[in-house]
Amino acid sequence: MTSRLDAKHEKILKGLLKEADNRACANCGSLGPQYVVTDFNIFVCSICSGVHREFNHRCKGITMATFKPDEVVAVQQGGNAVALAQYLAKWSPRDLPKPTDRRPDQIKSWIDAVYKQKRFYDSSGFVVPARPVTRTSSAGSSRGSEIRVAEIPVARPVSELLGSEPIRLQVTPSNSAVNSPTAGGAARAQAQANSSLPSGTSNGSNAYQRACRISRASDTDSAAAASSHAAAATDATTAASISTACAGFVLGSAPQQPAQRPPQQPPQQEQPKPAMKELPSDLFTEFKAPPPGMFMPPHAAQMYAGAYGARPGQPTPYGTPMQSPQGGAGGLQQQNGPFPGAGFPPHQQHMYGPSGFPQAAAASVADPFSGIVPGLRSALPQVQQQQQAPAFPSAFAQHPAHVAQGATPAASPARGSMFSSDLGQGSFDAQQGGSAAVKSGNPFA
Amino acid sequence: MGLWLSRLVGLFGEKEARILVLGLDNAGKTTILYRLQVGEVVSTIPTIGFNVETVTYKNIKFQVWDLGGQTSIRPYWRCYYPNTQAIIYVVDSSDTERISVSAGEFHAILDEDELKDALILVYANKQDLPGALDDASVAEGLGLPKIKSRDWAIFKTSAIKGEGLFEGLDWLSSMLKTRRR
Repeated sequence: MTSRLDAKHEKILKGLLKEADNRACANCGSLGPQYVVTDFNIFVCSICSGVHREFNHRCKGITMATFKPDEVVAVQQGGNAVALAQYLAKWSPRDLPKPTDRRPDQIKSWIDAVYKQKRFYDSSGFVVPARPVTRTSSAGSSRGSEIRVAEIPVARPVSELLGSEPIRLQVTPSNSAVNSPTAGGAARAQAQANSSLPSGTSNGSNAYQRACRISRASDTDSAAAASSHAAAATDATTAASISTACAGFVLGSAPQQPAQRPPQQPPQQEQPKPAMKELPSDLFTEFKAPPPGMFMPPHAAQMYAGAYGARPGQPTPYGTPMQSPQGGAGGLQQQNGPFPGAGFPPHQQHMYGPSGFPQAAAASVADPFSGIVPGLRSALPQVQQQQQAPAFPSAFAQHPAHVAQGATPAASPARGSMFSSDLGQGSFDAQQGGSAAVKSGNPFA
Repeated sequence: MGLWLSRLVGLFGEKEARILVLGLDNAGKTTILYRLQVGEVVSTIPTIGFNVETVTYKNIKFQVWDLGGQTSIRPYWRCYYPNTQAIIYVVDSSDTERISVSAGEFHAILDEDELKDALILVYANKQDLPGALDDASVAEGLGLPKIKSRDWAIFKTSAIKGEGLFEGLDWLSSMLKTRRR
């Protein structure tokens, strides 16, 4: 009996972990916290939990410890958003920088200031300690105050949520959500994705109900339902039986999460954000094409010729397409292009982010983002790409796999294919830009 | 010749003992282990699995196994029971709420057949914290005075301050030496 209760508690807690604010450690922001500090009902990483223990705070591993029912309820009502809204109420980054790089000394002084001395603590602006209230206040919706917190709502049919009239199956490509990262657009896309579940298939609606139950979303508030999407997606993936429609929903809507998240953050608190979140907006500003007058000094070109595996006889790797299949298999290329369309894990995005490289190098390695943000290339004006490509091919124009007609074979160097599917087949991709779009596995290109 | 020499060294040299450090989560097991081994307070994270270090003290080479104490990994303690000469059972003296839970685990260990010959050394840890129970209260909470058939001892310790730990090892080493003879 207790084991069944433990399993139930663990399921609830893992569901809570899927929520946006609980995905990162409350202190250092590292992703995937596995411990709960029951004194404050926050989710923290293992290193921060170790430091919390030094302060004699009670830490419990989500999968390693047993929780009492009242502790689970407390965590449900708490969580990172609620706790940090109180403990960091008067905090600004200038007061005390957040701990970075999981450094125990920084974490220790942080925990000391925030939780022990309570330097930034203020509970006045936070009368009702219930998470859905903060969420709705941050999302700007007033209807969410009816959301029940403590109890787990019973499962209800989808028709209650969506209405009885049939809903047209409408699949929106995620380009729109990514390219217009506004709250309304994202929420609308979410709602459409959710409503696109066929209510007739029992599997799909089951998974959706389960998701609703886990995330304890309101049954009448469609905005809250949209915001429960994260839990819905992950819970649906763990469900043993999952309909194909639901699978499509999960996969197809995954890239929309970054666009949806940031508007939901409470304004007064600095939530640790995963690197994915900043991607869509940053890409346009940081990796836009260089000005037309810019050119590359010969020695730099030589450098990149070496770095990217061009043959020594070639004057510049940008102007002439490499003909040899081996030309595309330089050392850096193999590191940079893991899979077609797979994109980069967040830490690698940081590695190759705007700050780490000089602009030319940044342009040369910016390609992997295309796998993460599908359809990004096509949003750039194609005239600009054609102008840019011969003089200094921009990061966006170099990739024939994603620019369907933008780059002509002559203007698109073979190097552009280094991040696409076949590392060794540079010339192939370069000359068949249009068909390579299909090859690269990017459905939105 | 070489074999003979190594036997001679073994006769007069170090003895070895395999020791398990057990206790509830956040009792201070890992901190104690590294306090014994490196003599410093290290910052720890919750142990999943185990830490093992050798501590040489009073001519005895203690192989100290520190096992994770969280609820769901306690059942794995039994994998480490065979060939264990002593148990160091660590109690968080400031955690008065869970002293009964700790007592339950303690008696489960005592009932283990594979540990019936093991020495029992109890550390009433975290004595540096205000409100910590003293050794008599911890012994009472664990039901130690009722144990007649085993060799046991309890020490007040503070792993942070480094107090009491080596006194416990003194007792262990003396007991181990009397047993060997």
